[in-house]
Amino acid sequence: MKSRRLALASLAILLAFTVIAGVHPLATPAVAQEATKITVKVTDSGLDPETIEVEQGKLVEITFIWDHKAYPNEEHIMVLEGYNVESDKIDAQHKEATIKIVANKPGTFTFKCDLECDLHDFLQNGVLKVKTGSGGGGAALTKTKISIEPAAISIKDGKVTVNASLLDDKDQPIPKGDITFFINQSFAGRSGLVEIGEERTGPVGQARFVYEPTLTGTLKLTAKFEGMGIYDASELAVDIPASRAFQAEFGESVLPASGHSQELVELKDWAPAALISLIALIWAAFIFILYQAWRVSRVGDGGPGGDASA
Amino acid sequence: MNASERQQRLEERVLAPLTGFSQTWFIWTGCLIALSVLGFIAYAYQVRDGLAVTGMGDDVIWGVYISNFVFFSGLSMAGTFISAILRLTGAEWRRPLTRFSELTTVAALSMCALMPAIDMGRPDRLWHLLVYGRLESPLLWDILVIPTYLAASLIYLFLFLIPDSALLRDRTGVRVSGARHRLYSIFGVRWRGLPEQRRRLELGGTIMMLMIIPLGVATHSVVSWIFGLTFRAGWNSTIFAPYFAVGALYSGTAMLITVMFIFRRVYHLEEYLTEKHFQYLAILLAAFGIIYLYFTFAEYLTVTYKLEGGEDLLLGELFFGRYAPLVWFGFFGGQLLPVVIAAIPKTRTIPLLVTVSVLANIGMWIKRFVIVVPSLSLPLMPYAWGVYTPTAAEIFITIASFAGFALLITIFAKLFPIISIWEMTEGWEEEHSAAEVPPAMPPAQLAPQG
Amino acid sequence: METERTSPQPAGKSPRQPLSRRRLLGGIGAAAALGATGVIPLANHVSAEPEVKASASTGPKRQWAMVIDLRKCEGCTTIDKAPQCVEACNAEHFVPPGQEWLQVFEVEGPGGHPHFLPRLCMQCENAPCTKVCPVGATYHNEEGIVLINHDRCIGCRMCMAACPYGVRRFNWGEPENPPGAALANYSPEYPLPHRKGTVEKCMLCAHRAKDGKIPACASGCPMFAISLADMTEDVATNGKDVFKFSRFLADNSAYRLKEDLGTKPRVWYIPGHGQEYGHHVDDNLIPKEPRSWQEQGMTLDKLEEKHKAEEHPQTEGAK
Repeated sequence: MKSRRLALASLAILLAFTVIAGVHPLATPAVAQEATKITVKVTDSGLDPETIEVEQGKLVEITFIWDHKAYPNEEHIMVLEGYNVESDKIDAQHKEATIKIVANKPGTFTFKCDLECDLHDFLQNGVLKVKTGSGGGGAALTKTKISIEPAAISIKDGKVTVNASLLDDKDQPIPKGDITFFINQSFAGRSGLVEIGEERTGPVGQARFVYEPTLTGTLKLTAKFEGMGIYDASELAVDIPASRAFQAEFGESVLPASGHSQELVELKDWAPAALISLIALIWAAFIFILYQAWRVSRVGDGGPGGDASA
Repeated sequence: MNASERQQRLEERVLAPLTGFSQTWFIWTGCLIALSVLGFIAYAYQVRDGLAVTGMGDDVIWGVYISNFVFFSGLSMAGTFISAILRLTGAEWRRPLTRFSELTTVAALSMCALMPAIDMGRPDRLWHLLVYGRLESPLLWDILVIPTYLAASLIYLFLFLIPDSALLRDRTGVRVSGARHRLYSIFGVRWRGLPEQRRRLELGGTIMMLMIIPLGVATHSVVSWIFGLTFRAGWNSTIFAPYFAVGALYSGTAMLITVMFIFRRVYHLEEYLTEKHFQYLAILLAAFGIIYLYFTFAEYLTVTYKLEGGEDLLLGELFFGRYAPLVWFGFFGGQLLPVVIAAIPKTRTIPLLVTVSVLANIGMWIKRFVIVVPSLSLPLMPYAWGVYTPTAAEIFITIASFAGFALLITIFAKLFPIISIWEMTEGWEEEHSAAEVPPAMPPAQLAPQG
Repeated sequence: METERTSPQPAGKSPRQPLSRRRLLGGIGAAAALGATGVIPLANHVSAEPEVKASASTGPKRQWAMVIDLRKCEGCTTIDKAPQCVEACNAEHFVPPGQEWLQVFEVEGPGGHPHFLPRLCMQCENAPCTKVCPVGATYHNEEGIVLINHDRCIGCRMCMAACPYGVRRFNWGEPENPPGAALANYSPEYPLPHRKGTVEKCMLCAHRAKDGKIPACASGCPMFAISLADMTEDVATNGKDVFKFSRFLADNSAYRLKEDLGTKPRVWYIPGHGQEYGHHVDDNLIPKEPRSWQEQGMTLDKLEEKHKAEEHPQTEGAK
């Protein structure tokens, strides 16, 4: 799970760069474009076909069809690296899943099963080649927007909950979109956007993000969507009120649980006193004994005490 | 021969060395003083130039000073410990042994207490220990326990010295030597052997005996915890405290045999320090040695079996590497051989016993050294092994500490009888309990007091 | 954008600059004034309480920590220089020649795979060194840094025996101090002048952290491999990027040295997860010997200039 996220995040940055660089100045609505439809069978011995080729700029639909014979329990979620897109799960019940992309980036991209089990990584992987040239494409990414209404921000127990909606240009929700959250933070002479979390939008295009602030004041929260398949990147910044609930003391920091057990701490309090008392007692005994020895001299002096005891 | 006649005879024998100075004595004492002075000069250099004059470095941060510290603390263990245990159990054969046992303890402990101060980077800040001392530190436990043990040993030595000092005070009189007479008067605290005085002495003595045994054990435990409370391989051990305590008893007993032999020879005390005493001490030596061997086995088995962390490197270096000659000599020469010699009745002869006692102490010093230094030279991070060779300054100071140890014993033996006269007499009195025995010191013999 | 965060300083105290010109001159002036009366200026005495009491100050306290990204560290072998972090440290603290408070080791990782490992004081929360100090000369400050009060240290070296990382160094002889150091305003956070017979070690550049600067080693690192972190605000920076500390650790399989000892070090290492780092086993990369402050020609004046240049950090972040 972690590696997938990281891969997605890093590729998302690549994608964002591409989009910002403006690869497609001559964009036309995606719907107007005839989609290039490709079917890929997922079989016992791997993907069929393993290599697909499309032209740059085309709207591409890849349909994965579950076609296992020997392994009826196999299930897959196909991802296309570099385009940041992920299919629904396919298994014996749900045999088909389709991913859509605008093939705006040339190059070779791997698509494979993302479920981390068995041999999926090795068997179920193929390559999408996006060829440059013809210029016949011109499919454009669908514009998106992130919306965080003031009502979507709530604070409870010091934790800030943000419900971010990811919508397309027709205000339709986009599910399965990864929204990354940042805050502006400055530290030790440096400041910048600090990534504080990432959430995926649900079926209604909403991502619920919970943040435990480590700062107090009005924080600038930035939500970024890096683009996905046919969707363009978008971002939004909102102010959120935050108050740091946690007051760290030494040995009690936000990170690793630390500190000693209470019994040990208490032991530390009384042990030195006990030790000192013991030593003091011993020295008191020394003084007593020396006093005894000194009293020896008084005994024979014919004093009243000496005579009485002798 | 009744008790008073025997006392007469003992006094002649024991008090003889106190009077007059032979040429040999001057040479011996002169040598010791010279060696001590050399040590002082070396220490003065060390104070001026810092510990840079030693062979210690950022890896091997402790060297022979700390080895000496542990060794001397070990020597100090047996004296009062054995004296107290034998007194408490009423062992009759203790009577001629107690005095020089206690003396050995005091002398060794004095040197032991000096060592950490010599090892300090800032001896000028010694007072910080009193002002800022933290009881959580194992070093402060030493600072607390060692002076306490030293005080206890001094009081213990002093208490049982009172009747003999009184005797000397009465024997010397003012005309022999004013200074000496005054000294004996002070130490004799107007002792007249009255029943009340005896009772008080007995009470104080018994309390001291009961306290000195746990204090001795505590001393060796806290010394061991300087090492045992760290993460270092070879030190990170739970049995270090008893291990050190038993090792201390072992080396202390060996030192007692050595000291007893020397006094027997030099002061011609064959009549009182008999072969029997050597035999008994040899049995103690063998017993402590066997326990020590058992601890050694337990300590090394557990680490050798697991070979945890850096232990394998350390053990490799100890058993087969750079320190192997020292370790194996320490084991065979310093532990196994003395135990075997002391345990077999046939080999338990005085010359052999003295030889193995000296060997045992050399072995124990080496053992202390290979506890302190190899663990420190073991790299904690991937760097090279630390190297340590004692420098001249360290060697001179070490020699001086041994000279100081001998010097303290020599000076004491010049001032006070090395065999407790009153204790011997007490024993004879008990032997002849049927007979009516006059008090040891008739009031008529009392010197006039101001 | 307005991130209101209360100052890490106790109210009413301005951030210390241990070596500013004003202080130095002040020191000289004071010394001159005192010279007449024959009084020696007393060094700062900080509270060397080994246990830090919880203080009810207004803002959250900084809790300093460090992250070292092993994927980035090449021991400066690729730029054909001695480890720059060590040299920066030597220059910043006038580390007595012969000592290195920060060392770069070549370590074998799993499977004998070699990589470099800069090792400085771990600032352990459960520090073995502070426990054993007989005079409380080494202690945690309120921000979790293990400091040494060189006015108090008696040189018993118990802490050196206790440290499982071997980071502590000792001034065996009279350490060489830069000219003018005698007048520097000593504080455990910036121990200058160095003193004979006392223990020295890295203190995470506590004096720089107070001024909002990353430690000298971090700013010296050309690869931005060393980051300063604050566990309270949960933020870290390597002098280039700002990132969320906990997230960075969790994302990159961070570990600490000898974690099983329970010392709870405050220095984390990033091996990454599966990314290639370190170098090939056949590459004989040996870091060069770092130069001491003397060899670098460092003086107090130069250090001050360096600090001044750092006063105006770029505020442009990752954006």
